[in-house]
Parts: sequence; C-alpha cells; structure tokens
Amino acid sequence: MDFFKRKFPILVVFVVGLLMIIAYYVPHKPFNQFEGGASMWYMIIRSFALVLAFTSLIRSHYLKIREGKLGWGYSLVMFLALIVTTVFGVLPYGKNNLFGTRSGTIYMWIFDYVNTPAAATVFSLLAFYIASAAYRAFRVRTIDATIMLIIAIIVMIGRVPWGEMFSEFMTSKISHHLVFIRLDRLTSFLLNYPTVAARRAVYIGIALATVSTSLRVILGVERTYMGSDE
Amino acid sequence: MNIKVINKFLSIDRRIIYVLVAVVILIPIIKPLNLPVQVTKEVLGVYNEIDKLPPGSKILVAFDYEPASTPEMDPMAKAVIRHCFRNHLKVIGISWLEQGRGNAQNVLSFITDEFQRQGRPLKYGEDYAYMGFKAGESAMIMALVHDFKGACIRDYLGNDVYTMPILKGIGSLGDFPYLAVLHDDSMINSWITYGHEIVGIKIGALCTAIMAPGIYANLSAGQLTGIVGGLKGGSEYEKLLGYRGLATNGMDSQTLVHFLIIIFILIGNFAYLAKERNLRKERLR
Repeated sequence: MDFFKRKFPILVVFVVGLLMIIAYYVPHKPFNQFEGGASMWYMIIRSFALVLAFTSLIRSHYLKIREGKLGWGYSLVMFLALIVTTVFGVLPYGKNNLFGTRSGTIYMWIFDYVNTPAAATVFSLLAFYIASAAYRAFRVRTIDATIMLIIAIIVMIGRVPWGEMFSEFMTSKISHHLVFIRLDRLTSFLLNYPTVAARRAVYIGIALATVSTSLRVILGVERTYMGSDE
Repeated sequence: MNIKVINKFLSIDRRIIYVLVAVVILIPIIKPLNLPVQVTKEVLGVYNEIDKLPPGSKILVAFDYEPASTPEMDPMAKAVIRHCFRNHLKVIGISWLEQGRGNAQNVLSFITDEFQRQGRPLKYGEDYAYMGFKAGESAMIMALVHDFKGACIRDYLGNDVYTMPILKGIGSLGDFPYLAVLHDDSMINSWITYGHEIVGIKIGALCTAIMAPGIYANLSAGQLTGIVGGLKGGSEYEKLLGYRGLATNGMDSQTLVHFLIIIFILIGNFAYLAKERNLRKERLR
C-alpha cells in the first residue's frame, strides 16, 4: 500500500517531469509527441476540476444555509444564480432562442445585463477609493516617499492628453531647450528603463524560485502535494 | 497658516472627494473636451504588425479578460478587430478565461454587425471564428503548439473545427503570423513562454493600464511587438484607425480625474508641510 501511496506518485512525477523538461529542449520525436499528448491530458484532467469546484461550492453554501450562519441570504442568491445560469446555459440551443450560450440567449442576457455591469461597477469604485487614498496616504514624509510622489505625478500627467499638450507647448512655443521637462517622454523613459530593470530583477527571482521548487518536486524532496502521512 | 485651516485641509471629507471625482468624470461624458491624443511607439508596434499583414492572413486573438475590465478593454478589442476586418484579415478568437467567452462573443458580434450595416457582410467560419473557452492554461497553449485543431476540436457553437474553411492550413499555433492577446491578468507570460519562445509567433499585448508596466520588460526583450495599455493605448489605436471611439472619449474623463487627484495630493502635502512647520516652531518656543 505504501508503494502506491508514497512511492508511486513520486515516480510518476519524476518520470513525467523529466520527460517534459527534455521535450522543451528537444522538440523532436518522440519527446514532442509526448509533450503534445501530456498537454491534452492536462486539459482533460483540468476540466474535471470544475466538477470538484461545483461540488465544493454547493456543499459550503448549503451548510451555511442549514446552520443559519451570518450572511446565509447571500448563499441563497448564489444558489439562485447558479441554478438559473446552469439551466439556461447548459440546455441545448433551440429555435426559441432561450437556452444555450449564443448571443441573444437568456444566459448571454444575464452576462450582459447582470454580470458585466455588476463586475464593472465594483471595479470602477476603485477610481473613487484611489482618489481618496492618494490624498490621505501620499505624503512627503521621507525621501523615498517624496521620490515616489514625484514619479507618480510625472506619470499621471505624462499619460494624459493635457500632459502631452503641455510638453508640446513648452518645447515648441517656449524653447526647445525645455525638452527635459517633456513629461510624456519622461514617462516613457520611466516605463522603459527603471521599471524594466526592476521588473527584470523580479522575473529572474521568480524564475530561479520556480526552477528550484520544480526540481524539489521532481526529485521527491518536496512532497506536500501528496498530503500528510496520516 | 492657522492650525484650524491646516487641519481642515488635512481632513477633507471623503464624500467631497467622491462627489468631485464623479463630477469630473461626468462632465466630459456630457460635453466631450475632444482632447488630442499622441500615438506612442508601443502602440505603433501592434498597429504596424497587423497593418503589414497581407489580405487573407489569419490572426489569432485571445480574449482573456473579465467582465470587470470591459469598460477599459472593449474599446481596444473593438479597434483591433475592426482593423483586422478593414484589412481583410481573418480573425480566429479563443479564450482560456471562462468569462472571456462572453466578451469575445459581444465584441465579435458588434463588429460583424457594423460591417454588415456597411454592406460588407462577414461570414462565420470563413472570415472569422471563435473557438470558445478552452481549459488548461499553459497546457492549452502547449497543446495548440502541437496540434491547434486537435486542442480545439469544436468551436463555441459546436462546429467541427476540422471542416471550417478558416482553419485550412492551420496545424500549429506557429502557423499564425500574429497573435493579439487581450488580457487583464498575467496570462500573457504563458503565451510568451510557450507560444513565442517555442514556435516564434509574434505577439502584441493589449491590456489594462495596471498590467502594462509589468510587461515592458518583455517588450524590450523582443518578446512582444508592442503594448496597447489601458484607455490611453485604446485611444491611440482609435486615432491610428481615424475615429474617436469610447477610449478617446474616456481619455477626457481620465485626464480630469488625474489632475483632480494631483490637486488633492498637493493640497494634502502643503497642509502637511505647514503643520510640520508649525509644530517645529512650537517646539523651538
């Protein structure tokens, strides 16, 4: 039993992991065929995760309603939304244009007039919160905060038409020596050089961490994905 | 400065800020300011690559954004699809984000209806097609690299992709001359890792403003041909196509809001510095 519970998964991970690494660097037969097949398998297995998510969602909300926990009413709304969208989305498309997920169906009506406006409204509230938070939090308390504040103002002005117009006016009408205060070009510089340098450092860090974690999993050092021993 | 006045400036009621933000957003919607937009080289990088494709070329468009991002993403999605159809390119859409499917359907039907009204009907399956949502994230891209039709099997309407004229000659992801990725998440990284790096497909990134700074590293590394970021990028693309759309009009509101935020930041900081100065004076006394 221990072999199938502990050793067999490690063996599968080791063999598949090694083959996938080889396939990436040797894109020829038979490795590329294996990679293609493995990707298809992953897509199929991944689709089953939806079943797991569906079951888990129903279970947790059902328990919330049964036990009358705080906010159980929202769980009822969730069930209503789940049933309505599933019924209208999954049933086959017919002449009545009610079922299915094509344009003009009830499913798409829910997407267009409930899902999209609700999601976009919540996201749009950020504009109000950011304005209030920027006023309260952006203070020149330290040198770091001052640099950040100046850069934020440059980018905010440089990325909008008035900033571009101002830059254009300063260089063309006043003096072309004022090119150093062209905020649009300064914004472009900030995005193309300092941001890229910092981002690249982060990317390299992520890549090294991913390689090390993957190697630990492939070599069987990292075994938490198999759950606890008990 | 009087300490009472300073404290007032330091604690402006957030409701006043909210009302002012709402007002400056609404004013340009009611009366557009028609502010001019300058085109950047990042947006030109996407536009030029699509523009130089010969008529009949097939372009893959990934609709990987959620409904929450539609106000920012839809204008640029419409602009790029409009550009493709104007140039007689064939568009094949795909999503690996479940909710991207609804956005793709809406954008494609909006633009095809527009061309229909203009007397140039576009035929589904020949001029454009949509593969629908495909699960699997990175693995899906790897599968598309090996066998595009085998990974899709059926389009969103349930049609067999092997019989679709638009996919004739497409065996792998690498058979597409260009890929436009519309995204509001970090999904572009997988398209770059498994698409660009393996089969060398050229990629243009069209994303929300918040995602754009993060992918300039990929642009400078030559993994992307260009970036269309946020409403600003969308407005530049609209300018290149010669019309003022939702992105360009939205830039009016964005301009005013940016300046309002800057004014509030300055007020807060002047008041903060004045308070600090007063405190220092009191300590010296």
